[in-house]
Amino acid sequence: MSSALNPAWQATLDDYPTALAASRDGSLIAAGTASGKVFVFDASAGDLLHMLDAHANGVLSLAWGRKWLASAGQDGRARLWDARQGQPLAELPGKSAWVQHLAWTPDGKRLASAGGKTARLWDESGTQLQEFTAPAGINGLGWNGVGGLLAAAAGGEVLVWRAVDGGLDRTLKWASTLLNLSWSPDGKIIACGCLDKSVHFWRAGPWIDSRMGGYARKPQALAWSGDGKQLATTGEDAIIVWSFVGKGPEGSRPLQLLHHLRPPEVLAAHPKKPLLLSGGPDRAVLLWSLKNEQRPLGLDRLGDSVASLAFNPVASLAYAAGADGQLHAYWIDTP
Amino acid sequence: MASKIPVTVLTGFLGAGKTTLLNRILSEEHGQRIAVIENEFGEIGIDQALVINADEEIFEMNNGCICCTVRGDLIRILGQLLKRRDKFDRILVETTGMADPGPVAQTFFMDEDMKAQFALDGLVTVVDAKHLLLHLDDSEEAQKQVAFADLILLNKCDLVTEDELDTVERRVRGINAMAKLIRTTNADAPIASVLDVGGFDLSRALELNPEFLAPEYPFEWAGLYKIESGAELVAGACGHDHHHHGHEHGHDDHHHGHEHDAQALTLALLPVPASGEDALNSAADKAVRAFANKPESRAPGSPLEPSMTPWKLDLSGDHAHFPIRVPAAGHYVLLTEHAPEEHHLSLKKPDGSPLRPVLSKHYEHSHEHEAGVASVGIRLDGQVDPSLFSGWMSAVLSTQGNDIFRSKGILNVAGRDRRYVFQGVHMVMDGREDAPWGSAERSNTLVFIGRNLDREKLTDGFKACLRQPA
Repeated sequence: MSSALNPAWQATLDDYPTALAASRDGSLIAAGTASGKVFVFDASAGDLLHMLDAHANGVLSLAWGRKWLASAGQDGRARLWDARQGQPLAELPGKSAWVQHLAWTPDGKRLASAGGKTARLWDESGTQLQEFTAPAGINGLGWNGVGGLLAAAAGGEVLVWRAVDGGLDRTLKWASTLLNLSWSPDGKIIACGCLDKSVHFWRAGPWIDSRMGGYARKPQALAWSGDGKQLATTGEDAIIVWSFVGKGPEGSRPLQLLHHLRPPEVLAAHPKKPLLLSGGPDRAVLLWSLKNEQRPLGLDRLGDSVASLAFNPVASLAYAAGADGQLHAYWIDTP
Repeated sequence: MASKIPVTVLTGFLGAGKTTLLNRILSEEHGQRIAVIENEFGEIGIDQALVINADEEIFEMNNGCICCTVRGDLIRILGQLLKRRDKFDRILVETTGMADPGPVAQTFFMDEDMKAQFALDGLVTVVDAKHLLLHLDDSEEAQKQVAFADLILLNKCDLVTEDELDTVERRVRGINAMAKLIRTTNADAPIASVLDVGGFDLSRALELNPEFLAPEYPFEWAGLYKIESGAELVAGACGHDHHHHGHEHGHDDHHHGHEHDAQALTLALLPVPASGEDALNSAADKAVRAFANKPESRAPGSPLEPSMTPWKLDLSGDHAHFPIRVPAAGHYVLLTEHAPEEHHLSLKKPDGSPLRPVLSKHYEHSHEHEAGVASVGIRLDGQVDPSLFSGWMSAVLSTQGNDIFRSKGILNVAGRDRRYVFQGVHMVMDGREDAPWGSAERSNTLVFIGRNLDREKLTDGFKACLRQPA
């Protein structure tokens, strides 16, 4: 099979890759590991630029703002870095709870972090602007399209806070625990995977909710297409892709992308093009077109389970990291 | 894939000695790398151990159903631990005395990822012998901690008398008949016994040896005799009117109000290989099953033989004589529904002189109801019809799953040469065939631990799953 995933470079990390993120300008790729390090590479050439001692006991999340890289970890802290220079900028204090989630506003100027039941809002210099408290542990975090509202999944509800005054705008309730949260890039839909093996979503504005059930497993990973019209989810042997075009996914049949030998667990959607990366315990990295249900465009097989995936938002590059600590970069060759 | 990582859950009220035990486990040389997930108030004093703080977080599948809850904080932390290069041999999860053990246990059976990677070894509950009774009286959490346990460390034994210990142990047994119980001072139980409980391991389910409390015995007295053929049992109608005191004392003096038929007495005679207390106890256990069988009536003058079918003696006459027929002279245990003196019951040697028991024991028949949480043990002979059993069991769990914390059993399934073993937490059940019966005596043992359990209904329900002899 001629593959659209062509090996560009490969690098070895010191431990299990827990997070992978490409900078907004497409020049850097950062990888966090279970040992607590953050590796910063030149995105195209693969040169290791910096290895940062980021978080004792492990990195849990990485996210790029317009200038800085944010990291979060098991030491209960988030940190801001000038990743290009390899310099720490600010330590964002927290309590003992692991900081699990990071979300920059779409303009990349303000950062939300969440650990335990607390979410915090920071500016680019690391000054705390707001503190939000949820009634349960926060399992997911996301901004609406313009960055005025911050949503957090906590227990069986989504809390929507206003960034401007820190007030609670509304609470969206569901009967089952929400495992994650993803706010569509166009700001129209808040989607959550649920413990009851469904995907629950709310349409912003009318705040009407819907439930897409029938999953065999928990939908652990959600990925919105760049235009916010398609939502890819795990939880089945195939990747399930719901379309939000027209009247939406209710009553429609989703795309089912089936090629993995074992149920996929990791997804990444391209921020602009209709492309999707998937991976999982079968060690396969697959590149898909979100336009149809054809076979994957490209395939690579890693030495171990696929742990993390990312697209480069500018260059035609994709990244996959395996549980064996190998980071792979690919040139994407699509028509 | 490598074998699953064992998980031990350690629970107990503040001050019971949980932290002492934890520190001992971590500091003693046992060659295991242990990661500890500690509750938010934990205070482990060992530096080299990997200790992670957790804040109890309940994940609900559906609104309100306790059977569908798991611990989200454990799923998150254990998921991350799997990613570390320096792997662990074992995980210890410490929970507070206020935490519900149900979701903790269910995490390892209901969450696919956890189930694939971890194996729950057991729940270990440390209790303070001096304060346990108080805690049990005013805290449902304390009752649950005892009810869920596979191993109970009755700690601080040095602070109470032997009699007090017996009382506490009886109370613990009333709640949980299947847990192992170790008396300790300074939580000094052997580490191996704490770290290798095997409470959820079906391959070790045959170790199930529930200690049902005396109240469950369907007889009040047992006597071990040396009997030779020609011996005789003599009994008279109950000498006093049992309802005589009724108007003065209500029914308090009637052992839990069961109908006391003065005109009849049910008893069983069982052979034992030797004399001694062990023989008496094992006969008593066996007799529990014998008494479950329908008794056969015996008119005065008809012979009594050792049998698993109990005899119902007609005592309507003044003095009734029943010859005893034994296949060989030896030791036998006679078990009587009521104390022998109530029926002026005695045995006589062939020469007419009194035959006295070598050893005898009274069994408490009065039933002390555990407020709320208790064990129901069922021991019955017979062959289980598998489809009747699975129908009954799923009906029981679907209607009472919230109230049934743990269940375990060993079954004699009709037509099968192997023992069938099962165990469950709330509504989650797991079962399979195990070792062959071989020459062992086939029988069924079931234990349910929970709240508001109806012993009679459960027993009758299980009885209805037994195949009727053709």
